[in-house]
Parts: sequence; C-alpha cells; structure tokens
Amino acid sequence: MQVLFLALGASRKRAVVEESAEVVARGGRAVVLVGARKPWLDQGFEPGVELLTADDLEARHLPRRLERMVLYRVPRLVVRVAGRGPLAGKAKRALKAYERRVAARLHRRVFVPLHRRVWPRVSDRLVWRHFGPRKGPELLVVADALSVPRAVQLIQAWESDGLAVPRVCYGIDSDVSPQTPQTSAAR
Amino acid sequence: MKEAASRDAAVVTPWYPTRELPFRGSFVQAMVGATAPGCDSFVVYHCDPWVAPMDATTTQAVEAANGKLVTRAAHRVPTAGGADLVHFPVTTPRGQDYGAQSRNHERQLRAALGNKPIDAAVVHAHVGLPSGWAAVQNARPDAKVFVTEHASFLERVFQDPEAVELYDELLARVTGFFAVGDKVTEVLGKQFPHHADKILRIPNPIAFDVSRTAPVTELRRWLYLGSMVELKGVNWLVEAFAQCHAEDPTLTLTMVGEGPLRKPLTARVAELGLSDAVDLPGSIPHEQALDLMREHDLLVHPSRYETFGMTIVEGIAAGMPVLVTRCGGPEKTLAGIEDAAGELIDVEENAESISDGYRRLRGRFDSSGLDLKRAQEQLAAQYGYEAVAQAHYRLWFPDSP
Repeated sequence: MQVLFLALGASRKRAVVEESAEVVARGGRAVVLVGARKPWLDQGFEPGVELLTADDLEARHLPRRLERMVLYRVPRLVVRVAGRGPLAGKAKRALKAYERRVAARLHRRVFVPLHRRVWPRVSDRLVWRHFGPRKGPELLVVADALSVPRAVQLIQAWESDGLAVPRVCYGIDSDVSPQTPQTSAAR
Repeated sequence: MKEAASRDAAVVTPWYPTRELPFRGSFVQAMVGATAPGCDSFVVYHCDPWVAPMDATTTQAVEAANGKLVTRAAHRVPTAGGADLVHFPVTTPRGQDYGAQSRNHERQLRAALGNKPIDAAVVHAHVGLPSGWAAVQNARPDAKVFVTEHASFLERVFQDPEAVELYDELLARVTGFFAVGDKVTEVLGKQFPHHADKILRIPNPIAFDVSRTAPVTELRRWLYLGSMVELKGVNWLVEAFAQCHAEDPTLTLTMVGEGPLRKPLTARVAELGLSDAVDLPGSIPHEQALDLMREHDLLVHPSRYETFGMTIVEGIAAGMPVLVTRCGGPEKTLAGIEDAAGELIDVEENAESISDGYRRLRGRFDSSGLDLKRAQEQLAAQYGYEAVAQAHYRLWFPDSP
C-alpha cells in the first residue's frame, strides 16, 4: 500500500514515526511530507520511509529545473572553465559567495514565491505523481492540525484533475480498508 | 425501527490511548471495555485535541478545513469491549482557554457527526470541560447525559470565567455527575456549592483477572509509572533509590513515562552512576505497562497529589506490593488494606521518607509477608470490571440494569 503522511506541523512526531514504520514493515511504501526537514532530523525514521518537503517536489518541475541551471549550474561551469591556474582559489571563493549571497536569496525570495504564484497547483500534481505516473497514493494520513488545510487542498485538486483520490484518515489505526463497508461517524 | 428499551450508549472523551500518547485515557478505555459488552451499541467519540501554534486567522482556516475533512477522514473502528471508536482531531490553538476549548469541542464534534445529534439514549462524557459540554450540546433532546470528572487541574480550569459559567450550566443540565476521588469532589463542591448534592462518586474499572506467572518473593525490581513531573515526586524517587541501591546493589528501578523531568533525571541517574540500574524508557502503551507490572516486584508511587491513584490499584491487581504516598486519593482507595497491600508514607520533600518507607516495607515483607490476596479481593469488589459495569448500568438503564 502506498501511504502519504501529511506532517507539515511536526507536532505529532511519535505517531508519524511509528505509523510510517508500520507501513514499511507491512511491505508498503510510506512517504512523509513535512514542512521542513530540521524538526525531524533526530526522529529515527525506519529505513525505507521517505521524507520529503514541498521544495523537494517542486524542484522537479521544469521551470524550477531551469532556475537551478541558470542560478547554479551555469555559474559553476563558468568557474570550472575560466577559473583555472592561479585564479582557481579566488574563483571558488567568489562562486561560494555568489551562491550564498545572490543565488540562494534569489531562489528563496523571488523564484519560489513566483513559481507558486504562476503554477499554484503544480505541487498538488507532483505529490500525486511522486507515487507513480498512474497510481497515486492509496491512503492519505493527515497527521497534525497544520496539515488539515493542505489535505483538503490536495483532495480538491486531485478530484478536479480527475486523479484517483485516496482514502483519508487521521492515523493508520482508524483507516478502514476498501473491503470494509465505510460508515460515517454520524449514525 | 429500534425499540425504546434498546441499550445504546456513546462516550465522548478528549483522552483515549493513541500512537502519539499511548498512556493518555487508558482509564476511559478500561471503562469502555467494562461497560460496552452489556450494551446493544456503543460508540466512543475520541475528540483528540491537536494543538498547534496558530494565530486567530489560521485557527479559523484550519477548523473550517477540518469541518470539510472530518466526515471523510473519521471512521468507525473496533475498540475495547466490542465498542466502536471514532477518532478525530479537534484542532486547537496553543494556550486556548478552557471555555473556548469547550465551545471548540462542541463545534468540531458536531461537524464530525454531520450536524446530527449523537444517536444514543445514553451519552457519557469524560471530564466536564471540554467533553461534558460538547456532549450536552450534541446529545439528542431525550438522551441522558452523564459526566465523569477526572481532571486533577480543575482549579486552573476555574480561573477562566467562561469555563466557570459553562461548568455551572453543565452541572445543571446533566442527568448524573461523577467525580473520581475526593479531591475532585472537594474542588467542585467549593466552586459550585449549589450543585454539591448532584456530584456523586464512581470508580475507574481495573482488570483483576490477569495474574502474574510467579508471586513476588523479594522487593528488588522497583517500578514507577506516571508523568515525569515534579508533582509526582520523581526527583525524590531517584534520590531515594540511590540511597537504597547503595545498601543493596541488586536493586533496579524502571521509570516509565514522559515529561519535562525525563532528561534531567536521566542526567542525574548518570551522575549517580546508576545508569545500569535505572531505566527510563519513556511512555509506553497501557497494555505494555500492565505487563511491566507483572515483571516487577514493587510499585513506588511518591506523588504529591492524586485524585484517585488508579495505577496503585492496577499494581495490586497485578500482584505487586505498593509503596505509596498519602497524597489524597491513595489512602482512601487503600483504606483498611494499607498493611496488606504495602506501605503508605507521608508526602515529605525529601528522599528519606521514601527510602525509610522501603526499608520498613521490606522488613515486614521478609518477616511476615503481606496479604495481597485480601487486598485484591477488597479492591475487585469496588473497582473490578463487573462491579464498575453494574454501577454504570444502574445509572444508564435504571429500568433494565
């Protein structure tokens, strides 16, 4: 089973770590989408659990690949070709300073917001496609309060794109398998 | 169509064991396990507070999104005693006042129910605010609503004027209101003297039917189960254990639970050179905690304040002697069986009261033993599943208890 954990708020880490490990142990695929990697670094995810940020996904989009080429690859190539011999040290230092002061700032302050404004829904599709070109996730686990609006957004986007929408739950223990008739919480 | 006399019950609770907090609400789970088998249908609504740092705009947006998501994401799954469990989050901004929390639970439970009332003749809520309030506001007009109050922090709740107002109304509207422990009853009686007659007592149920493989023969393996907070006396416990370990290096201590003192205590244990003798595994699921009780020799519970002391009864049910402070609930729970069950000590801000208590208990245990069987029998008659289930049925279904 392919399971997407939405854990953007990082406020229920123990549940996410345990449940993703269980998915992998049962032979499934667990992808945990987080807001930032840092709060999760010491969490000891089970090998096989994939930790992803929105930035990781968006970096696969063609405009963002072009941005990376313009901001990073081309300058690096130029430095490699031009900065030979006695200029090598200076060129490397200049490249580092450029990447830190110019490229990183442009990426953060200009390209990421612009990309999200111009292609607001690309991230929704990229999340789905991360699980394969045709299948998408089978289960969406909403793991904390700050992930709830994103979950709604993803479901609406997938529905309007005609993509298969996964089952949704707040934890794998309350998932209802497709064989079990689903009952609404209300009677 | 259902018959009028059908025994349909629902529970509304903010606490129930989860992966994130496996300990929280195990007493509610025990109550469900005890009472559900005697009902025709039984649904537990676990309104799980998911707290996050959110400003007012984000709070509103997140709640609105959850309102759209919840009927799709909250499912009925089996839980204790053949009951159904519906678990869903109540998205909550950090630091929300108790009154506002209660209204938040009311709204989000309603959303989870698809704007219909809870379809049960009996609704039993755990803790007055937020769940009691959410229950009375979402119960059918003809339903009987009961509340069990467990909260040991009621005085803090009543610092919020809106919470006092809601609690007052709640007490007026419920069919029955129960408190676990005299301390909770005292606080409520003081705050709402006009409702004092309505506040009754009901115990949490404890399983007495699983015995340990071999009886305790020496008080060597100590066990503590609870939060790692100052109120529980865990600092003094580590110091007392160090004193006793210096006299008997075969002693071990397992301290199960989470809290702000876990890290400092781990450091203190290392500083005392006791890392091989003391284990602090964090919090574990309730079932695992019960297993640990059957693998240890002595339950040490040096709390400064307890409303009831369920852990102590569970320890005795698991065949363990107890070393426990007279901190409110335990001395009432163990009245008449103090010496049969273990040793009670006064709440003192030192380690010696615990270590001296241990030495006295060990002396008695080695010379004449205790009478755990008698203690178990007395406690089972009050706190066993059957006793507690019958107490609930008499209240819920007086025509067919």
